[in-house]
Amino acid sequence: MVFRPLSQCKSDLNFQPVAPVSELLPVLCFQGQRLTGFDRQESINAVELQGAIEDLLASVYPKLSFIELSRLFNCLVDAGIAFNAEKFFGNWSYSYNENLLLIIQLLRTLPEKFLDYAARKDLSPRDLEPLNLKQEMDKELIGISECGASRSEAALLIELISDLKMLKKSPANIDWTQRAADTIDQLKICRFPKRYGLAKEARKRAKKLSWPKSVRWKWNTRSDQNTLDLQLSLKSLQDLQAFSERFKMVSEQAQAEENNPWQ
Amino acid sequence: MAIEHIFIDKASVSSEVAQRVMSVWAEDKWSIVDGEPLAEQKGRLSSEQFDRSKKLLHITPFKGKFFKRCPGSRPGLTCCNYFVLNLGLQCDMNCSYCYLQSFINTPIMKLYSNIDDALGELREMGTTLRDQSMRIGTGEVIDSLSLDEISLYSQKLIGFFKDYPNWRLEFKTKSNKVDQFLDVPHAGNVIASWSINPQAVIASEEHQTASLQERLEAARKARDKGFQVSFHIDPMIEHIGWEKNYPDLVDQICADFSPKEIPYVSVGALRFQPEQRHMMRDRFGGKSLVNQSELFPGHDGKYRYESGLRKRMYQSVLQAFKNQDPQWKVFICMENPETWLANYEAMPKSVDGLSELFDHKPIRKFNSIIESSKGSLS
Repeated sequence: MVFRPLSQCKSDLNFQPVAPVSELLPVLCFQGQRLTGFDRQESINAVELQGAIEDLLASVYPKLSFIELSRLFNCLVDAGIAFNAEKFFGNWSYSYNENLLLIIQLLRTLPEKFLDYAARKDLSPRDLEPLNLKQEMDKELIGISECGASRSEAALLIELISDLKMLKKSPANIDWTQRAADTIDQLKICRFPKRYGLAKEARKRAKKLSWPKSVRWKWNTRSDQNTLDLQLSLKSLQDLQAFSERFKMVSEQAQAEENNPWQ
Repeated sequence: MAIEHIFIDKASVSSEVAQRVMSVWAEDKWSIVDGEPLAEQKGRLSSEQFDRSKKLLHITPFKGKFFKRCPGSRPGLTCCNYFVLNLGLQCDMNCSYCYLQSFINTPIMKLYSNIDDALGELREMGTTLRDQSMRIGTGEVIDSLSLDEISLYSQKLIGFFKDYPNWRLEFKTKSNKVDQFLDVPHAGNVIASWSINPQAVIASEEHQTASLQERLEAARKARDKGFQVSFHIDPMIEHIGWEKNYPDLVDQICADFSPKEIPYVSVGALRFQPEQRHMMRDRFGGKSLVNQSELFPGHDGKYRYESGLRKRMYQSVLQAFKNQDPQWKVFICMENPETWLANYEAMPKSVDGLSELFDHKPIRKFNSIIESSKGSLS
């Protein structure tokens, strides 16, 4: 094992992962550059690692979110440390291409608060791709990081907001104190006004129909289908016959265009 | 998109297509390369790389299989018995909805120089499938005719298909480039087909393509030379006035063509893979009708209009054809059985005039050939 006095180790890389490296481990360095323990002073020596920088970093930081990985990449570039980007990203199973590079460059311009959140939630390049439209979204990104959104909710919010901004339909104010799911619903109504307008009308029409009392109905907009879902319980063959008669009546009522939920 | 440079692979230099490029194009517009140009650009393309890939052409031999089944043959979709022969990859036109945006990862348009190998594959299929009624199209991953003035592959294919009268060759295009093959003798089994849309949609979404009038004019020329002609009203795109524009489009077709001259018309609504949506937004922005559309993931994962709107769209076209003449054979492309039943109240094999298209005998035979070739390999 090769040791190098800590006083001779530079801290140019200065990378701070979300989960800090245990202080029980010695400071690790490569060609005089610290790879861990950037703020540590207490040790006398750092362990000088041998090998390819890309592989050493993958061994030292085996689990990094994409945001952390981008930060590490940027730290390497800023510190002027020579490395192979393809090999570097390949070690974390990302393929290095122009798309990835564009997102990494974009991340440098986003609010730190959002990036910290995105690192914790492990947002992927795909989740972040809508941001490539480069619209001013700082306020909304901070909102996303504060509203308790899960990863999938955050991805959906990013896409909806980005899309609405592109279409110049973005709501002036989003209440980020409400639940993320409620914000998603609010934004979907803005993004898909026809579908939600039709669903509202369909519900109004379905409500006018004379459903048997024990039948529960719900108008659902699911994937590319609009369906009226029914829930009923049959205790006997007589029940089945009785419901059949009632549904026949409902069907006749729905024949009138103003009553037809599917119209 | 105008091609800015043509790279000719060393192995393709002696091919007819390369020889033609070298004799016709200015010397600074082409170069001979050994290996893959832009090989350093790997993985999914960025929007900029995708745009650029349309301006560069690589003439190169293809080492894979040219002949395949159409992607519409996937489970869950009602397949119209179509086979594809891929003689290149990418397109020099630029449609906002183009599905190539979902999977192309080569930063340069390809035109395969070894067409004789492609014909050899067809010939091999012919040993077993010669008598089957097969439709084979060349416009799946490249427009059939937009580069044909360079390749002249239409002429070779038409000549080849003369020996296979039960097969039908389909050129599918959004260009108006037909003059190069109009005088080639044919066996009456060549279909020149056009994807068409109302001019408002063409102007907004189908960039660098021929106008509607140019496409119809080219179709008339092909028809007058005895070629079969077909139209694909696909993808139908919702826009202000679509309820009038699509039936008007049908009327325009019917004004120039009779059902006897057109073996079939296909209709399809806008659909695309989710992977391409970000690139579409990036490349075409909020002005694109496609990007404005309200689309939702369907049963196959593709984004589509909600089913009610799709049904209204299909009905507007089906009814317009019916009003003109009930003899028109119109079918829906890449849709599920539910949509078929909603629009025809029957599955295609039971619809008058469409049963032949949806007869899966050739597909089954093709599958058995593929299976037996796998068996012999193992």
